[in-house]
Amino acid sequence: MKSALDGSGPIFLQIKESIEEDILYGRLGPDEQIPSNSQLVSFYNINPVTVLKGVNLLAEEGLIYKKRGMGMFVSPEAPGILRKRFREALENGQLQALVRLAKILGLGRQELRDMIDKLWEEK
Amino acid sequence: MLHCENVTLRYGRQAALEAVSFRVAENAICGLLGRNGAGKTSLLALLAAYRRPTSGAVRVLGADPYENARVMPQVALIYDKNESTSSLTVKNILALAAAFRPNWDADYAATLVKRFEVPVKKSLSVLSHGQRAAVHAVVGLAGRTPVTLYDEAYLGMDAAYRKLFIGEILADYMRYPRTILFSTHYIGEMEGLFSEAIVLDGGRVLLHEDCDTLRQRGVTVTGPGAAVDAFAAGRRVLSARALGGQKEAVLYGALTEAERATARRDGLALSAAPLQDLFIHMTEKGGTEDEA
Repeated sequence: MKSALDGSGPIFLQIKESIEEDILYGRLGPDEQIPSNSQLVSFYNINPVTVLKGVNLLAEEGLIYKKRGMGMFVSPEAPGILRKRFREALENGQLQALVRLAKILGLGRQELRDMIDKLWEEK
Repeated sequence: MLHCENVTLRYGRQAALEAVSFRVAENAICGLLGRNGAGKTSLLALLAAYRRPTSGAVRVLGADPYENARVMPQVALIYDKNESTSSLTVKNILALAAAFRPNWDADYAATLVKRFEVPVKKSLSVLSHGQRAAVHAVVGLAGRTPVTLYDEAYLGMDAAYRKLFIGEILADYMRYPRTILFSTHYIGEMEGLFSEAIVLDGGRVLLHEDCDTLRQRGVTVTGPGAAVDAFAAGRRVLSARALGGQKEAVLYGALTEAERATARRDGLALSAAPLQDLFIHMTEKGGTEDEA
């Protein structure tokens, strides 16, 4: 869980994105329970209606499901859905920005590839 | 729950509130925003039955609250009283609150007093402004009134106290939901607390909507100065600042999906507008036109 909501989008989206990130990075696994609404309210100091809006959106997108009387759990499909979505964002967002910056810096295609290869080996 | 219909309040010839109408649902936490003199305190005084409207109808818990023995114990107005000469001790204040509040929770009050580190045996006159504000906060929280009205109740509190106060409002709300109207101009720090907000300006309701809708009335655009200027042309710019060749501008008005796509293609980053900027813009006298 992020320690604070410091992004600038609507607060309910920030809540949603913070949980999505936890699922993507495996901090919340399939069929694992997500923090309860009241835990989210007190952790982030935000209105319960706002929390509910974010959590409901996760449920609508099939990322979490409800167990009656127990709470909300990560759906088994969630990691797959998120990997697909983040992959698209990587291609259309981050990579585009990276290539644009590389061109501004006058880096050649091979130079950029070498940089990526070097980082790849480190991990 | 809280309902005003065409409410006007005049002090002599001066109108403090003019044709105010709104409805706040049960168990909402609603922000009451407005600049000094906008009518926030007057409105809260009407809801708490400290005053009667000159005309129009005020309804709290379904009835006119004025001199209403059923409604009044259910409503608390917490405000920054000047008690720097009061000889009452904190203990006295809490005992008074306990006597008048049917839902008073003495254990919770004791816990809160410890949490706020208020010396109970001391008189209000020797407490700091922040400690007196904390005493009021304790009265508002532990009273568990179905309607709790806070009028700039955090004045004097430092950032740590304010955070504790907001945290307790939410924590106790989760256990005992109630209707809260909270006036403030510390919007940035408080905005997460509210599900909806009423903006007062010059004694009138400028708008009343949920905070996310309110925030979507504006957008922050960041990127190269020339690109930001081109994108902002013809729009109302609420605030702008530049650093080197980079510029950040807060624009009024929602963007269409196509406009968002255009902005991204031009290398601009988009994010929500700070509520504070929108609020200042909306309540500005005579508002300034685009000057990006």
